[in-house]
Amino acid sequence: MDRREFLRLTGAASAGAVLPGAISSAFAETTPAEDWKVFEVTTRVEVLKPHGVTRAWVPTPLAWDMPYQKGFGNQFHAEGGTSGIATDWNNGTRMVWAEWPEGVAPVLVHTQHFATRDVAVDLSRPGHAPAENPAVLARYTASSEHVPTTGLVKTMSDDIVKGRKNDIDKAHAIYDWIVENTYRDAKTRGCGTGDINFMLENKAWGGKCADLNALFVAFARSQGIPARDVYGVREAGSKLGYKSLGKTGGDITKAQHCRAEFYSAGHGWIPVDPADVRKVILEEDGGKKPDDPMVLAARKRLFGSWEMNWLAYNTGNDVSLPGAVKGPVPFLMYPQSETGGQRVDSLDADNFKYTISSKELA
Amino acid sequence: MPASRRWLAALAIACSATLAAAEPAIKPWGDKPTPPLATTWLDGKPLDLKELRGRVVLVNFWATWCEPCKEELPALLKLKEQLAGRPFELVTVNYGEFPDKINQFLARSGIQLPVLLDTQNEVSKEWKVGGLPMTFLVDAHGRVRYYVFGERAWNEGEPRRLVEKLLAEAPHA
Repeated sequence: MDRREFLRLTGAASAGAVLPGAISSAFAETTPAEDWKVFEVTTRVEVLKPHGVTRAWVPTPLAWDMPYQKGFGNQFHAEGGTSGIATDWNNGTRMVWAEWPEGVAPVLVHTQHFATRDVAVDLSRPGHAPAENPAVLARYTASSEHVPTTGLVKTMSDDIVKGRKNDIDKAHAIYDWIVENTYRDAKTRGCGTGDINFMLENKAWGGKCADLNALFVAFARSQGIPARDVYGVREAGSKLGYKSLGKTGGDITKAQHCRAEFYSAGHGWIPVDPADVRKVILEEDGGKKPDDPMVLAARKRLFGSWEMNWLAYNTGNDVSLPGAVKGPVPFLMYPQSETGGQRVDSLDADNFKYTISSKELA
Repeated sequence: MPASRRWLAALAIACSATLAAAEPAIKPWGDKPTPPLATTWLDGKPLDLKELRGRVVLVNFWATWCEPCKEELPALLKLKEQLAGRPFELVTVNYGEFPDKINQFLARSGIQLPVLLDTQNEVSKEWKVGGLPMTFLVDAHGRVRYYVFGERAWNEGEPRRLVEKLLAEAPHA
């Protein structure tokens, strides 16, 4: 989308408010969970050394509602600049964008309201969830630059699912493989990059959520199972006793986390998170063995359910940023910016400062 | 001991401890083409790998936030020192950082490093750098021959032997 079309569709303004999006047509069939909790998350971004035209992009809650999350709208303000909102309905990616001319201090403030509730899919019995749109399933089974599905990915996943008959069993085998053969590497920057080809070619099994869960997605898709990363941020502490799987205190600036879903006819989209099992092993109480009861409980729980102390942003890969000079980003989980035609590193606090705060409203 | 030498000494200790723990394999590059390295030095002067033909070149990708990269630097600098006067070049490519941050790091650590810029990660993408540090050995004909993901002690053992092997193949070595 070029800049002109982008402006036309979004109605550029210096401030705005946008209502929530549509309901997803393929809700997972979920077991009853606790009531909805309402949150307010505010993101403030500032490009510290602007030169020339400066732009910023901030992810919002998923454009569509899910059984575990409902959006209540976004407010945003970019003093001295223009701002708007853009949505890619192909992958639920919605973002606030802002642009400032030279000489203006570029600051964008974005406030989002949404509700979440825990989600769990009962895999012990046949499901009756409505069927997902075939075009959507095709999209999340496709190969892309970020999610390769052939070559080494396919060879390895063939081996991993050998003898498994149905999609759920195959997905479980892949989940088990990730939990047993990868590890969370504390030295990985941010949430990792999710470069699957690099991981496989170099047997680089260490990483964080964007690496380990992307591996789940690539392996699943290579077996013809629709799967997707869901990028987001932890917005509250865990009530299940896992200190490592939550964020307390309201400052969630560094709490980005991505999860994964796969699709199975009858059950709909099924939540998984093998990366968080590895996080429990590395971080909980200073580290735990894989056979520790707490790890085993997390491993069982994170195939089929999510505790929703986490805000889902989007499922986009190779995301184009409207108006950007530079190319797509592999995923949109961190705020992004450009100044003087150069992309600024999202994790470089000397050049790009942002805070993200969360509070529970009800 | 000056601050810079203390820093290097500390890094050397950390380096040897880390390197003893794990030694990632140096792999042959195979028949794949050598990616372009068209970018600029930290001081703004342009570089093209073709200008280095006739010399064995070690290309190391690193960043100031990457601890294993920083642990590897003393061994790289030592190798450069050992091979002074021979057809060898050490070239480092900084992954995605702006000059002010790199200059800050170099000043603070007191080291002199030949640094190429890759502020937009375009060179890194061409070289398929998906993790750091990553190092490539380029022969005197400008062909990548070996690569490794992870830090190695380049001034000794297998890495040093591979550099010597490429030097022996170089014309006028």
